[in-house]
Amino acid sequence: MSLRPTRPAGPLARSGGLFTLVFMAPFLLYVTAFLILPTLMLLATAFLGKHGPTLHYVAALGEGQTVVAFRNSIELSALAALVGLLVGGLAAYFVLRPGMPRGLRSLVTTFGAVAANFAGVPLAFAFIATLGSLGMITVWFKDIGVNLYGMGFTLYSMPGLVLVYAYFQVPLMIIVITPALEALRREWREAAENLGASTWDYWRHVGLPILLPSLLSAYILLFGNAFSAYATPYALTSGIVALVPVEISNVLSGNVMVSQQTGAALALGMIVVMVVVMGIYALIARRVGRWVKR
Amino acid sequence: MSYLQLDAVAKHYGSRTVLRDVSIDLKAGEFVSLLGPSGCGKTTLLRIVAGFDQPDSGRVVLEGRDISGLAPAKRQMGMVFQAYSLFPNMTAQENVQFGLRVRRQDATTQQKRARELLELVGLGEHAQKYPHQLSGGQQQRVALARALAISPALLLLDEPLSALDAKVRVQLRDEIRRIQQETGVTTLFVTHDQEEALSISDRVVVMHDGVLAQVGEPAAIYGEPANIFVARFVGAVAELQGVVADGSAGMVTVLGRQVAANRARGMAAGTRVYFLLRPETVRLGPPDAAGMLHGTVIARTFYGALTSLKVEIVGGSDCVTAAMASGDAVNIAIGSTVSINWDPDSPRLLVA
Amino acid sequence: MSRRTHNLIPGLGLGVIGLYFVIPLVATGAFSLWEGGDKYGLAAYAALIHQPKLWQSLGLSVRLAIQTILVGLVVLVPAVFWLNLRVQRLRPLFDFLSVLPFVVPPIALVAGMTTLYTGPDWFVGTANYLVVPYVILALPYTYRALDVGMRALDLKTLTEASQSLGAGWMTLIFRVVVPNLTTALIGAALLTIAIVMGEFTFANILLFNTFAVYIDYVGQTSATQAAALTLLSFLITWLAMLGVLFTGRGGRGQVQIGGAR
Repeated sequence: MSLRPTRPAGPLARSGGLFTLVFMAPFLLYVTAFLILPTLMLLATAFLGKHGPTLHYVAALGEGQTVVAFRNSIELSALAALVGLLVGGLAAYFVLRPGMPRGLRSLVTTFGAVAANFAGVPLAFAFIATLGSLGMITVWFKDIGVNLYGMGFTLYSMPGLVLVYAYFQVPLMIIVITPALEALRREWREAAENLGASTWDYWRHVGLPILLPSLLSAYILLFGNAFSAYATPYALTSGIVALVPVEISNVLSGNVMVSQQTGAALALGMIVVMVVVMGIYALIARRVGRWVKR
Repeated sequence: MSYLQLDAVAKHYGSRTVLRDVSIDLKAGEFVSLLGPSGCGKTTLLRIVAGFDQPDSGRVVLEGRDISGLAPAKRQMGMVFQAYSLFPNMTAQENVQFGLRVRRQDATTQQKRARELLELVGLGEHAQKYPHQLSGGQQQRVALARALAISPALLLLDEPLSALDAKVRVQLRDEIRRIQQETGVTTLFVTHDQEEALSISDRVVVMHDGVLAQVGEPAAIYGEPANIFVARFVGAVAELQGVVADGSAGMVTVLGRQVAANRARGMAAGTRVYFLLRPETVRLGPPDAAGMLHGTVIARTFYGALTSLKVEIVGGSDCVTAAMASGDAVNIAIGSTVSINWDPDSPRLLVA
Repeated sequence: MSRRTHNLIPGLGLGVIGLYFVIPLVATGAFSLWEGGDKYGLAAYAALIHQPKLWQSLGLSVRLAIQTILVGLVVLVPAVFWLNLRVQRLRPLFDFLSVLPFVVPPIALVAGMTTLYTGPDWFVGTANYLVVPYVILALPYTYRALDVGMRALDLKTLTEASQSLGAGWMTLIFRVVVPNLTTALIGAALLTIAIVMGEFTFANILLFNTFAVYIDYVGQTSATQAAALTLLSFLITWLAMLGVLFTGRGGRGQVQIGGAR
């Protein structure tokens, strides 16, 4: 185009470092000050004792209550993520089936968005009002002669937590997996059928392998989502089930008499778990997604 | 006996009728195109043959066996879709092997057959590539190989060329024909492109609004359209209103002039007809020559070897198009008056 | 096989899943009306309305939400704008930074912040301090919304067009880019509201009386009032999400998760 000047006029033309600095600095400074530095601070605190560098606090992560808390947190998150993956995945698949009522889709999208964001203290209370020892359902069941708590069920346990976590895990799964399910082309299904594949063959060789990268990243998202949950277990179990976030909050609020360094080490431990999980994810994702266009 | 028989197949979606009692017979080894504008029901018909859609009534009979109720997976038909039907998580070779894999054939047979077919479609060297690493044309070749790998009773092609560039489209079209002839597989080919259908098929089925407009060999479809829809849809045609003037002499009145058309012989005088002229049958001459009609050249389109001239006929606003060698066309200027002639055998007449 | 019978199992499955989501809400609603024994009524709601602390905490959370939106936009809009316009090569950095809040759980971040920032009092001593981490919590969603919005804008053409008319970059951002981003901005803002209104971790640890903390406090004294507040909280989330979906109809599927768990 000959009409276009070779060097555009105006201040934006001088795209030198100065402008980049002006536009980027607030953001980068903010993130550095309030995200990166606090994280590094945890690292420093966890490894620094009164008398210089020490491995004492980090080593303490391997002891007693702390190990239990980490094991609980990881188990709970893995399980809650699995439940979310399966139930949410199936729900999304059902909703997208041809022949489902028109409004269902937008109803699930809207409600899913709400439920995925409806967590924390209110969620815990909703479940206490439902399935707590005096909850409506518990009482109702008792009236018809079924004593849930007598049968060993309690909301304030690992299974109870999974049940509650599902309330935000399932809708989150529906939200993140729906685009991937929609991207499964009808042609693939029909081509497979046409070539003699059963429904099982199709899912085994085509559908699931194509979904696998999306399922993996959804699982990681759900895991992290459950792993960092604090308000829900805090309001629900108040420490009956030892979980890392609740332990950290106990340290920070001074509820337990341990040093600040222990809290830092716990927090650092959480970050390490997340980094390891993401690392494993990256390794697997590369393998299962080698056919993906990059 | 016919190989594939579609017997009074009908299909409705709600109140909309997509197919009304369509019947077609295919002979073994035949290449038949379903041609028509979008919405004419051709794709639905193909999907009914494949088993993806169920007809409301009518039967699909393959080699004497009624397969109307059979699941798609049991029909042993190879289908090539418009585009993007390759499994993205499998290499070209794995795609081709898929049909054999779900038939639990042993690995060596699978690989050998896949190799063979990839060679057949000219992609022997791309066996290990994933679909996203192949061009659109290459992907469709793999899809073709995949459909052929199961030695299908019937090859179904659903507009397989429509998503490709013009040049690749012609190349692949010729190749599909070559491969079909080599393998002898009976083929049903859906297209909206009349040139494609005419060039590739043994027989063409022209469809319109869920009914068969005409079934016949390409030359017959082009040369002897059975109705005005086929005439308009297949090839370019000038369409004039005429009235048969003299059935014994083969004369028709067009725009107030009596012109020769041998096909008018035997028609009753006074019959209203569409008077159809294909561009390549129209001859333009100097204005003073004895012409059947006269007209003014109003537009010229250059196609390389051929040039088409649009001529507005004196005495009306109707036009005819003449296709002629570009070397001859340069002598005729836009705006000049010409005489319009044709061989009396050329015009097609359809009772209006 | 008709479609109806075909969808029997999916329909039943969705029905069961739907029950799981509806029952707690209904039970909470019923619970909030319970007045002991067989008596049901609006006592819990009546008691709540006269609690000044409810209105204070609600007001605080709303104020924090608005402040978080403003600070987040001031920090992010210029950066994402410049990223899309000139320094595309920094995209990996931004993508990395926007997943960081996911890798560093809120409880870990609050641990880090309390050790790093112990003063001065005007900074960490007022509830306004909560805006600082809330911006970080909302960062992934705000960044995504802005980035998607700006990518759709074709900034290059827009800036060239406005420059050819002689506009400076301030004019450009506030008269051209921001108005064209309205949908993306509203989406990000509503999501931020949902996050901040439900946020508990920071507020609880840093001892500020936000709405979520107040619900927790009420829950320790009156279960029925807590149930009533739970419904109110659900309503707020519902309104925010309806807003997101309503404004985001152009680029659907942007709704994500908040940070309240």
